[in-house]
Amino acid sequence: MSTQKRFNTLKWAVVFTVLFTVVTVNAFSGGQGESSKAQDKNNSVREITVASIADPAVGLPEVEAAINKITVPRINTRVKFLPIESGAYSQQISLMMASGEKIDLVRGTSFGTVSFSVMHAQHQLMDITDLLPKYAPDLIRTVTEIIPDFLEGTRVNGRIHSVSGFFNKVNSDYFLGRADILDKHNIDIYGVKGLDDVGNILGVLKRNEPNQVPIVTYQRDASALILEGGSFYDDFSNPVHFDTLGDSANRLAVVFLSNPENVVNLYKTDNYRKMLERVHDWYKKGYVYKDALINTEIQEILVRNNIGITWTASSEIGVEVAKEERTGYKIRAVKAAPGMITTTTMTRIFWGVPVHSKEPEAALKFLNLMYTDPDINNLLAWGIEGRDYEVKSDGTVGFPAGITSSNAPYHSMDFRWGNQFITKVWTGNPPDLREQARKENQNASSSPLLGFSFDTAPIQNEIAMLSNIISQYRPGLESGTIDPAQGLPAFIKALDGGGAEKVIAEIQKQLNAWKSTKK
Amino acid sequence: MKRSIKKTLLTPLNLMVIPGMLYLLINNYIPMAGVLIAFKRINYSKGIFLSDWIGLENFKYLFSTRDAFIITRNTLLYNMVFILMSTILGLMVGIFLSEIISRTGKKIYQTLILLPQLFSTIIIAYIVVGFLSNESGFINKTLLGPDNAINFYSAPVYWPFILTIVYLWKGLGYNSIIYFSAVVSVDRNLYEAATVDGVGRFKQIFYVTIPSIKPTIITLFLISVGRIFYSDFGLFYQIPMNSGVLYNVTNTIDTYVYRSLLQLNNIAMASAASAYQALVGFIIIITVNEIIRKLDRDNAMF
Repeated sequence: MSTQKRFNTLKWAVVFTVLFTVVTVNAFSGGQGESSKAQDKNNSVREITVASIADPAVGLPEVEAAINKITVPRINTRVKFLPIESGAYSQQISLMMASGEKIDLVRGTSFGTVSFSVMHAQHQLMDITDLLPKYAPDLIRTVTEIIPDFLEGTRVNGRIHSVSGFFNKVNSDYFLGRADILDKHNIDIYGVKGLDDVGNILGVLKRNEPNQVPIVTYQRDASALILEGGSFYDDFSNPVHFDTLGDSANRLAVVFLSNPENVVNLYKTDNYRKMLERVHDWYKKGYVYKDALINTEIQEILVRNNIGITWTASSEIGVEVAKEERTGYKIRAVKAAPGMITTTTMTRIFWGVPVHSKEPEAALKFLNLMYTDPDINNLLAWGIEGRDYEVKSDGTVGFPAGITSSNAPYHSMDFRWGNQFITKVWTGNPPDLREQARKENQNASSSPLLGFSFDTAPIQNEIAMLSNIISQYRPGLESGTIDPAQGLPAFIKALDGGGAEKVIAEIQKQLNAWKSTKK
Repeated sequence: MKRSIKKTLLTPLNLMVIPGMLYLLINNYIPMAGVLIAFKRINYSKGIFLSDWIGLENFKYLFSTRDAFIITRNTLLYNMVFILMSTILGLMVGIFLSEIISRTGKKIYQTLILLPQLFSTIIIAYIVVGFLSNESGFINKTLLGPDNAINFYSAPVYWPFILTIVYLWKGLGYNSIIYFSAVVSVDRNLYEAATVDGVGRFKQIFYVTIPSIKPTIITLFLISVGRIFYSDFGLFYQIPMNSGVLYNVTNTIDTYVYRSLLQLNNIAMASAASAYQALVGFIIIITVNEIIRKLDRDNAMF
């Protein structure tokens, strides 16, 4: 009887194992059989799926239909859009990539698992160096007309795997504040020459506006003075620029433009120490939001809710109008440091074809249209004319009567899609905004390191450790909460213990190799 | 003989097990194949099965850091305190509940202590902020006043207590309900007999209630011990609002892994961490079960 029982158990175990293996193998290798079917309909209309960050909109089907009315006759392709909310985007896309779901064109962003360096390190994107000139020649012509180095920003080891989104690439650093409060105390923000002046303004606000915080910060940057843009601007007329080499999150290894040969540890520089001392001084004087360490709201929200008066931000031109829309108050802004075109700004938004896509040709043809056709761009950004937007007398577009951003069937943003420069200007902005932006981009200086982004593969363990150390020490220091006299040496010691020097040396090695291929 | 086994397998009660088994198979057994990801360098263009094997490379970052000690210590100590406190307090509350005679009273208390369990951790995090924040917190504004204000989110000393209190407040109700249901299923005759023998209320708890529900206590204890290497991510990440200054007392294995891989998105390294946790949990559960079996054979789980 006991052998009988054991045999039965064994039988079940075998059945389960077989079942288990079959199911898993199927789950992991899904969709192998579909390729042959695709061959049959060589001449029929191609179908591609485009994944992008967008809020779900009830009016999407009509927009999609209108776009297909253009794409089917012109490039024989039907486009299906897959909008994913920004909060879930990173996770959704990496899951879809891992399981090989149908996506033919994917938008990458600057953060998390869909960032440029991650997608490249894991070979998620197809090499389109040779396909691009063949299927998207107009795209190349359009982008290089405004920024000659455009394609260099996303070229790694000579190969192109993605194309940067075509929108205003110049993000300058600004110091901003609420116009009504500044006027009340006769503060001329346009006369600010540097951070010493900013300190004086904060002092006046602290004395006269006891119920509001003079300057607010955001936990993710947790810093009042140093921004993604990459510059220290103690003196607004003479900012010190550095290039974060595509890693704006950790920004450990940077290259100062005054010394473009050497990779240095940003946290060990004098500029950084001085910046920390200044914010800590501000914190002690009560200028800085005391809950900065735990605040998860962006500055605009704090200003909108009467918590803060001033803040700093990295933004494109038209900053006063844009921020007024977001805060509900009239805003004045003074430029602290002009923006520069770097790998970081070029990889903030990019489009690529996933390696498992079966329609790279159709995807690139559509990308070509998205960068060159105004109708497609207006549809994607603002929806259907008459329903979602109407053209105003000055040539800008806005909501028709009775429609707002909360009840519009479809309303997106102009920088989220192909070509911002040929998309109509949203109302409230100067009608010649695109002209201004075009000029700003044409005149902007590019970093000499544009196009260099490092390969994290040899230093993964170090980056894992350093990410923890940086998120442990940096917010406390950069929000001014922690005294840099003790905090900074402890931070630097922890970084060295976590392998910062090895990372710097590795990136220096990669940079030298990259430079030698450029010459 | 064979026929009788077939018969017992196909009884309605046994058939009812099938959906549960399928759930376990799909959600708990099939994903186990994913453990091989922990030993590979994932390359999306090759796919999971064809990616290169790299041995234990992915496990390195867990041990090569000076934080390895801190995160292991935090995970273990917090979980030990949590298991101990929630067993003792849960048992206490469960017994108290069973002693309440009024039916409505019982329902009201049950609901009240179970309620925090239903809150999302994010909401609890903001309730805690409501107490502890610098700008508007109840403790700093109302109790301590501006001169004695404490910047809680940059003062690590308070956090072991805050986290324990929050954990118990949130989780106690759930535990106590399980104990409560075990207590009410104890044979009433035992209590009557004890009363006849002149045993007081308090002594009844120690001599009747606890021995009768010992298997439940041990099962719950073993289950929680098996997860001693996992930490409640929401509790350790959201409640301290991810404040870096507090990492020495709030960083656990799960939060460490999350923060490490936020920038890298290396699924292989993440799998390595969870494989490591599962392995250690497995070893601990076997060991503890072995000890219990040595002490008291009948109460061991297997």
